[in-house]
Amino acid sequence: MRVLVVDDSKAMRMIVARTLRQAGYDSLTLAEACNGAEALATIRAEPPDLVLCDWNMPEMSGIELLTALSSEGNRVKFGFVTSEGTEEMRSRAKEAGALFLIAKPFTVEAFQEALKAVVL
Amino acid sequence: MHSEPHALPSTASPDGAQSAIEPALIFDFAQTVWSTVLGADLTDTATGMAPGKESTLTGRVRISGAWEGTVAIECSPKFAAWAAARMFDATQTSTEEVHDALGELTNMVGGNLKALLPGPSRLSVPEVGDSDGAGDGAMVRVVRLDCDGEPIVFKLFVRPNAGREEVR
Repeated sequence: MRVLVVDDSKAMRMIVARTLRQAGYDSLTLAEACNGAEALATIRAEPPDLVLCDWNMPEMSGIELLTALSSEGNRVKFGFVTSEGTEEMRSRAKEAGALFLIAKPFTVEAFQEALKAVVL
Repeated sequence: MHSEPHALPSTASPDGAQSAIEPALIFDFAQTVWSTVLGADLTDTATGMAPGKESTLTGRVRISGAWEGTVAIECSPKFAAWAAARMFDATQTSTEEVHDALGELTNMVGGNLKALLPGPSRLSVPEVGDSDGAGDGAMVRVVRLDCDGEPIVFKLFVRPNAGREEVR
C-alpha cells in the first residue's frame, strides 16, 4: 500500500512516518510532498492508496487539495493530520470527503484508531 | 499551579476573547506538545529568558479572522537545535531543520489555542526568526516555562482589528 504524506514541515513528515512504523504499519510504501500543489502533481502521476495531509500549507492547503481532487473525480482515500482538531474543522474535513482527521500532537494510538478501517 | 504569577491584564479588545486563554491552558497545551513530540517535560518558572545573555529564536503563527493575533514561542538556539534533533531523530541538524522544528512546535501550540478563540479564523503557516515580536500587536499573555534548564517563553498577542477579515 502506497501512502503519500503531505506536510510543509519536513520534521512532521518524518514524525508521521515514524509514527506509522510504531503503529505497526511498517510495510507501507511512503512518498512525500511539501504542499498541496506538489501533492496534486504526485497523485496525478503516481496515484497513492492513501493521502495523509496537513491542512495549513503554502501554495495549496490541504482542503484545497482535497477539493481539487474531488473536482477531478479522484476518490483517493484522504485523511488530515493537522494542528487544528476542532469540531468545525472536522466537519469541514468530512464534508469535503476526508475519512478522518488526526489532531497534532498525536499518539501512536490515534493513528491506529484512524487507520484501522483504511489500511489493509 | 501555573496561572496567577504569569497572568497579565488583558488588553482591551472588542470582545475580550483572549480572556478564555488562561496561562494554565497555555501551559497544558505546551506540555502536551512537549511530552508527545519531544518526550520532555516543561516546568513553571518566573525567570524566562535572560535578556542579552544569548540570542533568542522565535517561532510565531498568526491567527486571522474573527480574532486576530499571534502565538509566539521564544527559546534559545541551543534548545531549538535540541528539539530539532529529537524531532528529526538525528544527532546534527541544519539551520533550516532547526527552524522547521520550532515552527512546527509553534504551529501545534497555536492550533490548539486557536480552538479557544472566536471563529471563523485562519492559522498561518509558522514563521521562525530572531525578532522580538514587534508588530505582532499587544501582548496579552506571557507564560515562562523551563525545559531541562532551558527557558521557553510562550506569548499571545492581539491585534486591534479583530473581526475585520473575512475567512473562507
